Amino acid sequence: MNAQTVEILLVEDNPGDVDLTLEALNEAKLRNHVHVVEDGVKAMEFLRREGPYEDAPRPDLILLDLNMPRKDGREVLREIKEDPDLRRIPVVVLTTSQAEQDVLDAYEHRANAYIVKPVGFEQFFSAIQSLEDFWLTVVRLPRR
Amino acid sequence: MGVTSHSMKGAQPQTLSDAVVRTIREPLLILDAELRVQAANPAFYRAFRTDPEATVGSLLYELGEGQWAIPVLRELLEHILPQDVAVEDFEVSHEFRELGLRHMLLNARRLEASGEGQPLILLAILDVTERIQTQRDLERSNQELERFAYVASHDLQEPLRMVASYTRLLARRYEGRLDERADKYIRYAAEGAERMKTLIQDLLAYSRVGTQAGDPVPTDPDRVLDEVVRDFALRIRETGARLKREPLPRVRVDPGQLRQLFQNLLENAFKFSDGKPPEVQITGSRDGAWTRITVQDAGVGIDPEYFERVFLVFQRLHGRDIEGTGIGLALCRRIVEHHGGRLWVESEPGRGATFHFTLPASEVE
Repeated sequence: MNAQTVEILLVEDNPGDVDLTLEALNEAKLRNHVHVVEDGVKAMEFLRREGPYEDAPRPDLILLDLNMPRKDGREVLREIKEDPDLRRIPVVVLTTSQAEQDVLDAYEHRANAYIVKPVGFEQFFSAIQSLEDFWLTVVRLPRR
Repeated sequence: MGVTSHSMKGAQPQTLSDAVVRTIREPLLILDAELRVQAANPAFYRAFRTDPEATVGSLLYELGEGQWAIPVLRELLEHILPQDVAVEDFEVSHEFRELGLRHMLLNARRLEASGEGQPLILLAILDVTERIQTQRDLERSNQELERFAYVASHDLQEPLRMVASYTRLLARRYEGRLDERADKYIRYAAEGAERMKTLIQDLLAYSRVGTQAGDPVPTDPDRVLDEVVRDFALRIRETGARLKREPLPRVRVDPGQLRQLFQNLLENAFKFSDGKPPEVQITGSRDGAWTRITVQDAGVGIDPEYFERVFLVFQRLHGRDIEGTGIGLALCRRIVEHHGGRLWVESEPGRGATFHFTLPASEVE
């Protein structure tokens, strides 16, 4: 059984995309709490509960953008999946990039899924909803 | 210049060859066994801005700015007389002081002696600078197009996503809660964004025909059509469409582009079926080195006045109530012409349209 409130970490630098994702997740079936960080450095601090993120909960699911300043999603993915403490957390790459190389690299570094952000709102919404349906209700997540 | 030549009917060999040599635009040189210039034609003097004094009697590699002083060329030329071999399409490039950078192709062969003379070498020079320049310009222009296509696809999509998504969100959240005018304005913005999205995607597909073409391979059009028909399965069921097919001869094409071609033609047949269940007939035949394929529908048809216009990019013949940017047929034509073929239409308004196109046939049957 998944926990009552699902903790989601959204790593995304575009505020417009952040709000879109939040809107979509807001209508989710399961109660969820979304934490947002805007680059890879803050993402790792959050996951390691460092600095301002001392009391951060461990996320059940990570939504990861690829192109971000300071530390990009590719590096974050690598670090998460190489950390024995963090690598069990499912990471879904959510990005604008359609480049075949990016898709290959993401799966190579053990991303759990790769989603290209659809341009249309309805499709974006529906992608996030499917995401939520699949990862939070159909799939069984490891205990925190 | 005394040269032996094959005679053209009626003309005296000597006078003809003299006239040819004097009139043709290709520079010609006659060299002896030592590669010394025995004679040159007027075209040579014109092309290299020189005269007999500076030319006749000099060694080939001494001419001009030494542009022919190329060891490999010299070796090849020196083999012509003893071994009776010819030189063809030897490339020489040289930056001349006055003429600038020129690219030239050289042909040379043995000339049988007339009378008791020694055999000689005939050297012909073709200036291909313009052709090469045009090729380079084309390559550069293609690269720029590809860059543009990339920008269009990638960089434009994020702002587009913002506009499209948030106008829809606004509509969703505030429809009926602001005034009627606000609803209308938001709807205009949202629909505009939708059209922008389709336009960008279409432009991308169009530009990619040339820049992202795959290599042509022997392809079975029936297999490609099977896939396309599968994609249309739902619409075929929903509209009660009828598809009649005959086996199609093989072609040598980029299969992805052939698929786009069929997709667009079928899409058109469905779109312009004039309210009736679409009726489409696809046939093909072999015509020498080409395969001709015909896609015929029984829809609304096209006025002969517009037979050429339908193939122009973004030219639409119908109002806004019919979806599409009008690029479908332009894309089809670009694909067909990219393979060296032709695409044209026959139609009578009210009696449907028949699209014919030719593609290179594949030898492997």
